[in-house]
Amino acid sequence: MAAEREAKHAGEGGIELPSPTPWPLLAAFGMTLGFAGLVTHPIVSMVGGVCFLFGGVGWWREVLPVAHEIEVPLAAPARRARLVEPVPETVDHLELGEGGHRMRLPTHVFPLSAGIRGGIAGGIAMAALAELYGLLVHQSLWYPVNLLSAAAIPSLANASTEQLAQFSTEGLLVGVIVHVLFSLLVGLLYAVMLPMFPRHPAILGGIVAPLLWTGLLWTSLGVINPALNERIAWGWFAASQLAFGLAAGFVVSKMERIATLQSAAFAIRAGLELQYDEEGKE
Amino acid sequence: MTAIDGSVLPAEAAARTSFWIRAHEWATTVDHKRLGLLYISSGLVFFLIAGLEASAIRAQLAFANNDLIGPNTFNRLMTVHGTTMVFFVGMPIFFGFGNYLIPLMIGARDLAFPRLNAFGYWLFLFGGLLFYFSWIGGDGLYGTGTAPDVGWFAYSPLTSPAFSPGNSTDYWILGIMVAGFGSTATALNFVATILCMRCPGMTLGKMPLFVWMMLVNGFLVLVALTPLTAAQVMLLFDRFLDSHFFDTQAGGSAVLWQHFFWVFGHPEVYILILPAFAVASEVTPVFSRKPIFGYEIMVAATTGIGFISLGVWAHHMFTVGLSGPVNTFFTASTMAIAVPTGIKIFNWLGTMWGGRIRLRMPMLWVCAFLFEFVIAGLTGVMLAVVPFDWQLSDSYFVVAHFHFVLIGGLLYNIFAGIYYWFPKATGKMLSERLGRWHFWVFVAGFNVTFGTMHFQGLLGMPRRIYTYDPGRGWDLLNLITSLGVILQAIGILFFLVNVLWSLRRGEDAGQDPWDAWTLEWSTTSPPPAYNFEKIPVVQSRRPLWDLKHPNDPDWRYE
Amino acid sequence: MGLLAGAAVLCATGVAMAEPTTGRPVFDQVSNMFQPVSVPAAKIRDLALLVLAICGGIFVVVGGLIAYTLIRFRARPGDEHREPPQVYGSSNIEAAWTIVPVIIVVVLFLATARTINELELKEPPESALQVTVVGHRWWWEFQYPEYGIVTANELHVPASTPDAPRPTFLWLESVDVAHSFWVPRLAGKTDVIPNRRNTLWLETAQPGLYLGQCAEYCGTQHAHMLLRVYVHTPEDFARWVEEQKAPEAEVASVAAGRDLFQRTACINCHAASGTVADGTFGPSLSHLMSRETIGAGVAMNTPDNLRAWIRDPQTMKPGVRMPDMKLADHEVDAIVDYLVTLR
Repeated sequence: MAAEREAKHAGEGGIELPSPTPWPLLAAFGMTLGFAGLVTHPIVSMVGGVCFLFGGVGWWREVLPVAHEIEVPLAAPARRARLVEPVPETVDHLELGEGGHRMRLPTHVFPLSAGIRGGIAGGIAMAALAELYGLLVHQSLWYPVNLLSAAAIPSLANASTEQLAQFSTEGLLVGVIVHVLFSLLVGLLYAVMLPMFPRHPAILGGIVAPLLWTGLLWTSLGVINPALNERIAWGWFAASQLAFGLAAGFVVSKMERIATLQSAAFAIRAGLELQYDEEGKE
Repeated sequence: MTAIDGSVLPAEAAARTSFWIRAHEWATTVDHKRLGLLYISSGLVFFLIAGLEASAIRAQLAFANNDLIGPNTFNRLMTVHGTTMVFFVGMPIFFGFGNYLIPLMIGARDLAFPRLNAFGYWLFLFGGLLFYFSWIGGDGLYGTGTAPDVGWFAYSPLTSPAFSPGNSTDYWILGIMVAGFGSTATALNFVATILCMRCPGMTLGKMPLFVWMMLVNGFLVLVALTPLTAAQVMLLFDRFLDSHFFDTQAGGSAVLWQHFFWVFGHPEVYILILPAFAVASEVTPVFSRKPIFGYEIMVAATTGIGFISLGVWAHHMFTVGLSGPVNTFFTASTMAIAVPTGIKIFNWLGTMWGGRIRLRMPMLWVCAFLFEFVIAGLTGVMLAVVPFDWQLSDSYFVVAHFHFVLIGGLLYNIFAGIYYWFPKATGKMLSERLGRWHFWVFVAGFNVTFGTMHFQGLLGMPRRIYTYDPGRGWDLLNLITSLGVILQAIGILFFLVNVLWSLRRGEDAGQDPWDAWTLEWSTTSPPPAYNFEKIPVVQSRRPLWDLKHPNDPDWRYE
Repeated sequence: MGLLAGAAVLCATGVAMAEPTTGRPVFDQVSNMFQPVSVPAAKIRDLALLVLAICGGIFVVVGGLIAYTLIRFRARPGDEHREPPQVYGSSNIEAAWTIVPVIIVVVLFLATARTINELELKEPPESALQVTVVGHRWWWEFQYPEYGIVTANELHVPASTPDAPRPTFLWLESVDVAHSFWVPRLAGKTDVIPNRRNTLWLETAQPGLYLGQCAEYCGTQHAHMLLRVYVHTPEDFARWVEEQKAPEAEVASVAAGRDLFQRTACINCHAASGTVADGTFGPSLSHLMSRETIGAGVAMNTPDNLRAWIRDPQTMKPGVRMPDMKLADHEVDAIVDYLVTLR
């Protein structure tokens, strides 16, 4: 047998592939019958067991000591795969930028740290204004915090105004988490979106966006945060949103823009590898 | 029997065409392409059967107080329909795609364990046959029924011997378990193949997205299917050895089964949908004539989905009365999974944006998939909102939602994949004209049926009822729903005719009919047993682009 | 889509036809979850509308984008040999369409978390009426421990008024498999699971009849496990309680039927006040005629239907646990004559 294979091997340039075998089929059949016996008759299980055993042993001998292989001859030259050839297609290029057409757009972005800083700045500005409102109008530092966390805490959502002015651990915890999370997310969004709107980024991000956001909330606040909805002072609310927008927009747009690492691998852009110089790059 | 003497070489096979010789060839084959085709065609046969079952269900529900089918038969039909579609249609068809395409796409000659691959396929097939044998052999005790009637998630204690005497439930357990062993073998095979057998130059970062998603999918199958098998073994113990894991009459826990099942069941949804995403991720770039938008973030989203999907199972159990914090946690994780899924949709959209979209059949299906899947995703978000879910869960709204996922998401991409790779596998193009009939009639029928179903749910119609009284606002809607089935059936007929006709008379496909970029298009259609004469060497994610555009290859930029 | 919109309008107005034939219950009420009459259902509706609005907005935007892309960037004649610019991606846009969904999801999550906690009521308030709901295959048992009443399939609760708030608090238990208690206009569903005590509450100011049914697949007759919830004004509810507590009047003319009832296997499963019957496997027959339906909503409670039911329950409700007792016609008549006196 081995000699035969050698002879074939020497004869022509075939390719060795695993040889067809019935054993897996028999083993699978035996296994199924083995289980089927549970719902039919023990004899079925026994037959299944025997089949499985035969299949298993056959399979074993199929791969050990040497896996059986057949040599598949190459197809006739006429029926072989053709080489892939260049096509006459032209490839359009984007006009902007200098790095050819494999662009990562846009070419200049703010670093993500800008978004985080912007978010922090905006968050502080917004919190300051909200606390100012709490102190001036309700003589309480905790009032705005509790109102915010009432979005998630029903006991606060149903509390009276006096209760809202009291300190609540739960309220403080949830309020801070929600505020920080939203500040960061929106800050990041600013950093990402501002370069897409090259004209007047500060006006767009600082004024238009917060006003839009306020308007959206105005329509849905009754469900999102009914407690806030009942007590809200829209003037102060809009002002604090504006404070966020202006602060975040200002901080972000002061940051240096960085060039996107055009056509660099992800590992490089993510900072996992050093960038290397490559020829052919413009 | 020695393998060399007994085997049939392709050249001889062409000469000898006796049916038995051919059958022998297919039965003993370990070739990944043949096994792939076996997977897909058996899956399609099960699909037709399960489709007929669904049609019977809808015929029964077309009118109020209809008595076309009695309650027992109805319950069996809905159980068998669901089980078949999930375990014997969705999974095997995509295992078929994976089988056929993974080695071709990564430039290998076969899967890592070809014999195990054959074993996996036959286990799936025999598991399915065992499951269907219940219609004949399930009558263990007089009057205890034939096929299983416990629903595809087989909630305990409905499955305990007290409420399910006879053997019908055992068939459900055993059929799925046997097929599950096969799935585990195949998943293992995929993972090993993808990790170990890529051709020179194909780093993980240069694999086609299809392969990436099948890799994540393979891991998911390995992680998720085992708990199901374990739970099924426990249930077998309950039923045969009088243990009391789920036997509430003896202090067992009904909720335990629900946890065990959905720990498998939700990843299963992603096991089904990730390969669908995989197909869309191959078709969209080729027909938009652009590389996939944001390859890295697509990979990240896929792995993200893989991980998060393991932590969302209890959103199937919001009505069980879990505590508030638990419900809140699973709301958060479920909503979180909407983010990577959204990223994928946007990235496909980004791929199409700025391209020159060729609306051939595969792309048409992918576009329809995008629409339907946006709806499916949004109704999914609604279901994640626990209080809303208290109204929607177990209603027809849920039925509509998961059919949008499994048909609009899964089946559309199966069709896309079939139209896309049929030329590769057979050397013939599918007819575009019949294809368009198939597409429009089926899509219309699907939306009529399942779009309407949302409203029955909102009007309080629970799922799995075999009949209903008139006057509850469901009559007209159910009629419309059932009429849509007729359209879908006609659509499927067009598809079958198309496949059969094109196999004989189809236009010659040639090596690369779509002007595509992945390795499978660099070999003949159908590929030879050895796939490639020489193992290819790649330099970028689109090796064929590099060859087609030697002046402007991808590898300069990646 | 137009079709769907049409369907939606049809449903919302509940224009479905009711056919008063065949002795089956005629329902004139659509259990539309967007027409809540109870506090929990109303809160769910509010949240649902927010979610629907957000999701609708997303669908319009994303669907519109897909449609626009498909039209704007379709290949046109002459494009065959031109490839578009090969853009690989954009970190900014990718980041944007990650962050925006995250923000939306966080907003939804906060509102959801609050509503979950708001609706979760594990212990009954003092003023509440407590009812223990027991799920059976395939009917509901309602126990009012406060009043010593046990009834079936039709739940009677008082309306809650501003000066006398009276929520209803349900303890949900099952004796066999998992069921689910769902009356869409009153509250979301909660599963009724063996070996487990779930809770559900409702509070409504609007008297009326509200329909629902079992929502967790529970076997053969899952479809006929209907729920009827009657909300009464406080005065009417008190009257109903008194009627239920009153002993059955012993009508001499039906003594034969009563004897027969007590001598057959009926009493193994059914209870009836004033007799030896104290079975618990089937619905209690005490004050049977105060109920509008029989067989968990499978038919209206008329003497004719009762007769048909006793003669062969398996025809009216195939698979029901009650067997055909093989009674002679005159025996059936005697028992029905007796049953209709249980007011």
